[in-house]
Amino acid sequence: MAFDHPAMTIEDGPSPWRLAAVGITKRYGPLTANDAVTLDLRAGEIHAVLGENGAGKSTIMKILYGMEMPDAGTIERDGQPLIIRSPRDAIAAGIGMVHQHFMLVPTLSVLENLILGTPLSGRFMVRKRAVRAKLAALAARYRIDVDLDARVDELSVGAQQRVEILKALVRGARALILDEPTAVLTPREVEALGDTLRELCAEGHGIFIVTHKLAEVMRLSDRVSVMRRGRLIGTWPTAAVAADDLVTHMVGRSLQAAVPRTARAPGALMLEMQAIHVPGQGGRPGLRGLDLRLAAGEILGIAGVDGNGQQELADAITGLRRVTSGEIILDGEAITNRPTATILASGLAHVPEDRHRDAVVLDFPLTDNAVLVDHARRGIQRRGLVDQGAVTRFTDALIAAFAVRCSGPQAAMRSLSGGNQQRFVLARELSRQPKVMIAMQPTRGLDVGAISEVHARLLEQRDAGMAILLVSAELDEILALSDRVAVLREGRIAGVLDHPSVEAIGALMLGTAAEQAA
Amino acid sequence: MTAVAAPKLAAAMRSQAVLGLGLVVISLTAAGLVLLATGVNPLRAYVEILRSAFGSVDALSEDLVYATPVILTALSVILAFRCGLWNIGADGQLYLGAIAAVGLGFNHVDLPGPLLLPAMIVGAFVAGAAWAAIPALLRLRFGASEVIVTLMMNFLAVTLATYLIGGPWASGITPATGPIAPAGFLPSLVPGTRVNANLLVALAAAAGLAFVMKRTVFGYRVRTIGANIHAARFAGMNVDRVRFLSFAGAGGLAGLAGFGEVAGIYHDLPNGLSPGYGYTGIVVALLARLDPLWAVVVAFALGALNVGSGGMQRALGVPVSLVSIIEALLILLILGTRLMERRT
Ligand SMILES: Nc1ncnc2c1ncn2[C@@H]1O[C@H](COP(=O)(O)OP(=O)(O)O)[C@@H](O)[C@H]1O
Ligand SMILES: [Mg+2]
Repeated sequence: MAFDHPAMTIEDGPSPWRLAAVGITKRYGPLTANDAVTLDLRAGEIHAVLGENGAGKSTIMKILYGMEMPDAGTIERDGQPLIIRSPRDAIAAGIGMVHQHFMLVPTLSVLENLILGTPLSGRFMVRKRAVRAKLAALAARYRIDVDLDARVDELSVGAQQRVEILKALVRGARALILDEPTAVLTPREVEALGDTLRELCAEGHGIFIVTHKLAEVMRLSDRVSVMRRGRLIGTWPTAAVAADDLVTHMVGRSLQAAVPRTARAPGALMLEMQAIHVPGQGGRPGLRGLDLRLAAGEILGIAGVDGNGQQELADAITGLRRVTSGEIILDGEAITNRPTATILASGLAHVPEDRHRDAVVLDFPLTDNAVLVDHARRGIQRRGLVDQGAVTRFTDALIAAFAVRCSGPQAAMRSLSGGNQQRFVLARELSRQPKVMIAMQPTRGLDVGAISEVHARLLEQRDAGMAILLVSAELDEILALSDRVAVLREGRIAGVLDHPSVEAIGALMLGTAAEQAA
Repeated sequence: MTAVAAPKLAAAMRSQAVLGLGLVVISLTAAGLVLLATGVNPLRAYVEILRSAFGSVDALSEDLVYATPVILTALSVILAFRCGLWNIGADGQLYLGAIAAVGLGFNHVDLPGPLLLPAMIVGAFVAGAAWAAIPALLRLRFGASEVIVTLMMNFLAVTLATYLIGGPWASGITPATGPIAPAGFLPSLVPGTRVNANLLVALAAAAGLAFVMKRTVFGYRVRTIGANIHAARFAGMNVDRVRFLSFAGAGGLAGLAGFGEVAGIYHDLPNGLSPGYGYTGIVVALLARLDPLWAVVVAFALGALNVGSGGMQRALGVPVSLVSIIEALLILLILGTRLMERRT
């Protein structure tokens, strides 16, 4: 792994190899993250893996890198089975990975990070200058622009990523896995990354690049695979496949059997957002002048690739994040930057995206969870004292109304399945008889039965006149439920579709269509 | 609001009892070995501990004297911890309570007799609360670690007390301030002993805190914030306000401990008022698993251990450090088991 490693000797010509994941299945409880997925990578190619959020891309890559063990399937090199039980095994087999979240020691220098845990670190003190020179040469060769003496926590995100790539190469990676590498990069850095990757391929490395950005796939890759809902849809030479077809493969041609629904009868304007600005954080765009209108009796679907402002949108409405400019009006009342409690009390219900973190207290019984928002309501408390009898009766009512499977109102929230937890959260939020509801990824992690039930409940509320903002990464869900679809891209509404179609949404999502006026 | 099904509760209690018993046996054995190594008969030592801790009214009363301030500092730690904050500063808050009580009771203030005691109680609570409000504000506004700030403020509080004792309020005779007016003396509960009415204050505070936590809207908010601060925010709770009030309240409880030492025991502010009651409170809070009522039991047990081992040390001539080692051993063993339980 030291100086004599192939990655460090220029004379080493490309020798062909082929790494394959064959029939990989991986389950997380009831959810199948990978369903008999077969993918392969050859020396000298860039193989893009495309798919929506939750398609299972990261999972298959983690399995190749030994971070997760598959329930079925094998990993092979040149047709021979390869035993990979840990990242250590993967590294020994010449497989390296750069994660969505970096794994560097922030207080050490780039150089120290690069040699940490390699045999080089032992000899470091003795041959510091020699080691340094070799690493600098390696970086230069692959056009990786890094300052070896900078401390990692002083580096930009893009620079840290370059260190990660270099780190994998130093450890002898021939097959390199990059999980969503461009999500955090500026356009210029994306360009530079492309140069590096092509350089690596020319020397016989092979690269898996996970992404959901179509343009990059078409520009960078030699082959492209599409995953959807844990399945491999297909693998094609990039030159032989049209971008439109990839979008269709990605989001799925066959929609779920449509939930029966009545014609849309939108009523009064219930929620209006005018030119909302929210600062971005950690490379996310925030909100940049977002406009939105939501009427009673309609479901407005918010489609978009994760991280384009969805979280900020929900946080701005609920008062959890400060809006720097713009106005939010809920049923005629300005609620911009009001306290969350005030906003919720004026008729807003919220089903947060991260159920375990934000919607429930897992260690509390259902009773305590039932009154999380409305614990100060009359009937639940009197003169500062909680009326236990009333809380239990209320909890019983929620359980009954949504057929929540549990051992009783005293059951710990933790003991419920994900679907039943979500039923309980929905029951609680709807019991508040809101005018407007924000539902963030309301079916994430649920099984098929629970999903269709949640969908039915949302439609029922819409028919009863509620205004629902549905934020979802599942295009199928957006299409099945929404009366109109707004596509969120880079903190703005890229377009609103009155007659949404997969193609139109996909084009707006990926920025391949001319922007339409909102 | 938490209830466990009856059989589960019984099983849990049984395993708790077995565990507790096992712990006692292990630490007694370990401590016995230490004693044996220094040439002391462990059995005699244990008999001596029991006799000194429980053998007479005097002994029992001293257990309670020790337990009284520790109950209050433990409650202080519990209240802060329940909403996710560490109060390492109960010792300093205790000092501030004592300073306020002496300030009012020391002949400077001319209050009619019957009003002096209530004024001292309120003053001690407010002073402790105000002292705790500083680290709470620094934490909630600027994110400064309350652990470090409260710890530093403990030293500040002791320094302030030392200054008052040596300067403005000096008695000129003993290393203490001048005495407070007799109207500010707390009555003794058992004549001829030092057990005073502040024990009742401490017990009432424990019951009160247990009630607030279980039954009130405020307690519900505190528990929610401690259990999942994100969910509390999403539900619209004013997290900062609740945490501020809890932390200030925690300071007030510790301040009451200082009041009791002044009004019930010393009748002035001596140098070295607290032998670390604030820190003992942390241990008690953790041993009691943040349950206010268990804190009373644990504080009494620690009091008995402290008084008992003190007596044993005098009777058998065991060095003080050995006694401390045995006590620490016991506490570490129990805490260690708690941690292991949490991991499984
Ligand atoms: N450790 C885990 N436990 C439970 N579910 C998981 C875990 N990791 C991933 N999943 C689920 O598996 C599915 C696929 O996830 P992932 O491979 O990360 O998707 P992608 O990278 O394509 O966005 C998702 O539904 C995700 O919620
Ligand atoms: Mg992923």
